[in-house]
Amino acid sequence: MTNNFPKNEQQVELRGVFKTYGSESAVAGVDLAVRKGEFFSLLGPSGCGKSTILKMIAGFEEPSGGELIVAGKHMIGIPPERRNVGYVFQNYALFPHMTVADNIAFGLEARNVRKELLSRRVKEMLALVELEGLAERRPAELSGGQQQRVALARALAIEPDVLLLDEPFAALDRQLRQHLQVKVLELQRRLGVTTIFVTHDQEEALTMSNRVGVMSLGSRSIEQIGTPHQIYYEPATPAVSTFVGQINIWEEEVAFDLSDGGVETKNGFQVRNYDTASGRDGTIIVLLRPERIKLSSFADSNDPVNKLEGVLSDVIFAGDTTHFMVDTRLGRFHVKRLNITDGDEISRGKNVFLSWSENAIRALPKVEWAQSRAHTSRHS
Amino acid sequence: MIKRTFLSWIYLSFLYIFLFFPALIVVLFSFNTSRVWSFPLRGITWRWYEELLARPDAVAAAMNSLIVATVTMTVSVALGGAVAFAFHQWRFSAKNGVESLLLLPLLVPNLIWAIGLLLLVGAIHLPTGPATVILGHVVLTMPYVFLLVRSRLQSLDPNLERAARGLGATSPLIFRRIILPHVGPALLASALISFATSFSELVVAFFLTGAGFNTLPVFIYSLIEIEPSPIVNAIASIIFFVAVTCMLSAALIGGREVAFTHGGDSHDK
Repeated sequence: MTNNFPKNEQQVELRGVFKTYGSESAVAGVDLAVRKGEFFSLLGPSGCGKSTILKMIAGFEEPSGGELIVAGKHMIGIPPERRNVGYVFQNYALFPHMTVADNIAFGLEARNVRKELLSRRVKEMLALVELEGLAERRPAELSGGQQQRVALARALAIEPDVLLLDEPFAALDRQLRQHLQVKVLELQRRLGVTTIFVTHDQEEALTMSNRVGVMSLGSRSIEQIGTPHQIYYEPATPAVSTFVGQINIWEEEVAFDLSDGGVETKNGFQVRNYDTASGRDGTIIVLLRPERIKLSSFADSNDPVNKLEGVLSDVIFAGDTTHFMVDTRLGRFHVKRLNITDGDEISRGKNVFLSWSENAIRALPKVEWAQSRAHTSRHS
Repeated sequence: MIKRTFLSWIYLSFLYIFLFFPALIVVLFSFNTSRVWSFPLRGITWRWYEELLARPDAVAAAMNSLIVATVTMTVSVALGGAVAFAFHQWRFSAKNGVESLLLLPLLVPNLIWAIGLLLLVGAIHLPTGPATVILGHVVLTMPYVFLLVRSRLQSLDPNLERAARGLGATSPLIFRRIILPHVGPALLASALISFATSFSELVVAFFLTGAGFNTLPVFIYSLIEIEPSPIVNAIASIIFFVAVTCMLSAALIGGREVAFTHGGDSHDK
């Protein structure tokens, strides 16, 4: 996904924001700049502080320190009712004794919007979320998906400076969730509203976002900010690499530089996206996604580098993919294969050969990795 | 399973028969043509009710009871509701102390309260009369209001208030549009309970009514002492009817919360 949002137009900015409860750290030193119109996700396991960040932006929680700027205005000390922020709660928090129309109108009512204007705006919002026929229903008479759309319409009716989505899909079943993800994304693009989306579901974050900030339980802070592609293929820290997708990680010693860029390791693997020019050498950490590995039952003589022999220890069928666990001299490797053909049945205990392209690997100096690991565990 | 349901049904029936049979007997005899409490009934008549309505002292007592119950209900709901709302809205260190003080009347026997209040009223030279009865009844009924409204407030999703605030609502609007509709049933139910309690309460009223002022239960009591008559059955039936109607409506409106807070009903009918 491309990311062509103007870097200088920041709609939401957090500088060194942290939150403590007594001696307990909930959020540690977050720096974040969300651009105007961007769909930004905060991804992390439950308890990592991502919801607390959202609550601080909305004003439901006050940061213990740091700066918070929304639409160019400093927000510290300003109560939620005077921030122009739309919030969709995980449980939607619809007002149970009000009709759908009254729920959507509530923010306008609080702003003393004139009657005609108010009812016109409510109609617009109902049309926007395709709930025209349900204006007079109560929330309890709606399905989960409909409730979510009402919550969305209610938050959007006030034309917020930023839309905050707190795990709004968590309570829905898988099919409905995927359907609504598309709808929400369409709506967000159409209105161009800056959106911050909190989720623990990596697939959701990767598919929906322009950029993703990955948080970890250890650091209570943002480990890496990047496009979904960067987050997936160039994880910057151990926490990111293990939380987002599955990955094979092992250590290699650099043997020598390759003449056409990259290095070759002592195990005979070629790594392209790494160079020793900037004085980096010695031990490197190698990251390899399971789906980038080719698995076959016979040695491929055409490709002399980047191959590894092992014994198949486990086969796990997962519908669209099959997972293979292969024990090699470098440890256990996880290989994932799309089930696009019937495929040759390889049974457990058989010898297999793994191979991958020299661009499939991501490598980092062990020093940097160790530093980020230290950073990760500092607060835990 | 079926057997168990059947057994519990029988158990429940016996419980209700035990609880309500005496009251139902009183209602039955209030329609009996004979003056004597004995079966079989001689015939059905409205005579005792007519006699009752013909007595100015009885009608006056009924009016007094209505007024006392209405004022008690209003004051109790206002005060108890306000305290419950304060408990919901603010944190303060005296919370536990205030709560136990407020709930004390539920634990202390009415007789002890009545004597205590009488002594207090005497000590500050307050003349006994409608005001002192109301004071006593407010103290008795406020705990129910407080408990009901507070437990209702506790079931309010905190995200609703957050959502309202995030949409730009200030506290008065949130109170009017979010909190009040939510606690409405509890306010109504506790109002009915307060009314029923005050309308049927004898002991505190007996001590605090003073000369020349009677509520209906106090009137019955003096009637039994002075001139036992089937009119007593008629009055008792009226009180029973009012109390049961109020309590049933309260349970219907307030649902589970009423059942829980008012489960250990111990006041005198």
